[in-house]
Amino acid sequence: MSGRHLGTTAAALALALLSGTGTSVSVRAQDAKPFKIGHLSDLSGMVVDLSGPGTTTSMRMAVEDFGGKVLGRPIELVTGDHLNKPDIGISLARKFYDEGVHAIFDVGITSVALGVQQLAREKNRAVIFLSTSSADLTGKNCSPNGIHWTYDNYSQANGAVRGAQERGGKSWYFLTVDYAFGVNSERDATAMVKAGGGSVIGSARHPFETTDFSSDLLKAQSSGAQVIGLATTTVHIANIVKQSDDFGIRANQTIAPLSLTLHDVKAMGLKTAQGIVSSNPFYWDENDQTRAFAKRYFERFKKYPNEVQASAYGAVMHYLNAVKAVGSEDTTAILAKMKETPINDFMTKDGTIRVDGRVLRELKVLQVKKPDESKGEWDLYKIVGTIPANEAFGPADPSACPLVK
Amino acid sequence: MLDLPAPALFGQLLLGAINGAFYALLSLGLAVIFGLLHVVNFAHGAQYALGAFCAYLLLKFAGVPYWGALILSPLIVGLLGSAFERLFLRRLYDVDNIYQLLLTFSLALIIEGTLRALFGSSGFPYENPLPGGINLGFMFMPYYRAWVVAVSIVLCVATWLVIEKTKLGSYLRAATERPDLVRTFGINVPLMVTVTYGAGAALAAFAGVLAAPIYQVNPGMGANLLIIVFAVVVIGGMGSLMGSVVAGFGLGLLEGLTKLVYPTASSTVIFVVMALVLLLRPAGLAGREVH
Repeated sequence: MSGRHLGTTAAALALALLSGTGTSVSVRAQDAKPFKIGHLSDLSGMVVDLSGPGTTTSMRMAVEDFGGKVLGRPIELVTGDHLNKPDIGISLARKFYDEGVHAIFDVGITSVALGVQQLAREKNRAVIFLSTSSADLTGKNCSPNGIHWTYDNYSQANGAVRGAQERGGKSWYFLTVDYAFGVNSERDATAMVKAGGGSVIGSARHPFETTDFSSDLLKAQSSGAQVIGLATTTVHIANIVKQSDDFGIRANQTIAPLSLTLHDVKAMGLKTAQGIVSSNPFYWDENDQTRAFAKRYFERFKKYPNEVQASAYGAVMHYLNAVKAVGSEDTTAILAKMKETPINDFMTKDGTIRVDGRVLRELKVLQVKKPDESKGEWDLYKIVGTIPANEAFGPADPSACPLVK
Repeated sequence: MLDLPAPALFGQLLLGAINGAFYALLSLGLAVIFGLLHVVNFAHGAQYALGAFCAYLLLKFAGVPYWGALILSPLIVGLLGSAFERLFLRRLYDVDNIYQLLLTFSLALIIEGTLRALFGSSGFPYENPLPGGINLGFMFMPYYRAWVVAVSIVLCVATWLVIEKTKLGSYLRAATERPDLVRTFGINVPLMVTVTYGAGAALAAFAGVLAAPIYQVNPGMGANLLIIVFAVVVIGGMGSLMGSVVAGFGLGLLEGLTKLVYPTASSTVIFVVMALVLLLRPAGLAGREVH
């Protein structure tokens, strides 16, 4: 069996991979040259539930509700799956922009996001980050072309730390995933704990590939810390919380995940997740407007939206409204319009976009319901408080981001 | 290392043994398939995930509890594995090993991708059938984990006995060494091969059901473990059952100790050992040199 056969196989595999990564969905018939926006994200991989096709659905709803046309041209939504790989992600983004996409939404994983942030600036196009959490996007990697829409690791940690400290958690032990995201989250959360008069006793790092946390959990248990903070990814949180129950940890200690989405809670089940406090810019059952959106979304996607998926709707709407108001394709003018217009939609009341690109809005402090409090499959949280927009996010940092003066 | 507190040491060793039980059980299935079929089964991790999903679906849609799933789920995955062997894998025995590897790897991608497309990436909870535990003084031992260790040891020993000590096992071994000769004795060799692959897949599924109450039932659950398990099999000696089992438990313990002494190295220590073994004893600790 010769190398020729192997070569053919490799070529076929490469083709299959290529064809899977870029597809185009036309929203309206293409008489005039379409106005393109792009959804670039993990559409099939590790974190597909965080954003994925749900976000595409939400973006499409926004395009349809907007009327499907802007500047007299049909709006075309282009989607691309970056598979969480920086090389694929950045070349897809380049292809998008080169083929006339005016704004890329979502992105996700930090390594791709930082690349797209740079690329958008070079090409003077817009990028609006939804599921990316790195606060560096509005810090040392800030750009006039980038808007960080939904949350960041600072705002996520903020809610968790406040929530735990208000319940008396003074001493902390962190379980941290051993790469930039985890280390940054731990650093931010440590600063918040200290600012709130608490102390950090220690931390244990785990590699991304881990599934068993019993060893780290035992260290956290024997440290005697009141709170075990989880500076790790969504996939791991469910496992850690579940395994902590095996060792009877939550009888004496509180577990505080620094980030937690609706689907994580669903995946853990209320029996395991009950009582956990986290913060979130969105919960579907907040008011009539959020419920109405969630219901429409559910009819299409058969799941309820999390904060990323819900915020995609508002992000696209706000962008398209700015394009309409400006009346041209001029990216600089569109971005300026977006930044001067307050954001108002079903999840954001009087939101603003700071000069470094950070969207500021109120956060909800959420607590996971007990099994007997829940009335349905998606009835998972109760809202126990709010954090005002000016306290929810980290302050603009002139030493990191030159846009801030 | 001597200044370590004894409770922490015992605790980590015990946890190491528990993880080792999983490694042993998973590498056992791989070793059965490689030892008897000479196929590197890259679909093993996916079959493990499939076992866990089977247990979850059986519970959700048919009300089958954990103990029932422990039997049914390996049966189902074993049958699927047998069908896969008969329909696809069989056609590749006469060509280079790389093709079997590509085929099983593609099966793994298909299974994982399908599960993710159907169920999403977050996974599902699975109720612990043996909640609670006992305080051993130096650590809190959950009942369920004790059960995992016990059942893994039993299953490993049983599999070894079947293959090394029974008539069926001797047929199996003979059929893989000299299929033509064994066939002349009137033994249905293709059937035995199908059953062996099915049994290997069933072992993976069994480990998957065991894992369900500890880890999330999640499409990616097998992919992470598979790399470690391959290292375990290589260290134990490709195809050696005893080698895999001993290496599984041994490396679990070693990993536990490393977490205590130098946590940063805990994820790499297994691969360091693998590299050393490959340098010093390329056939693995218990493997025989192939000439």
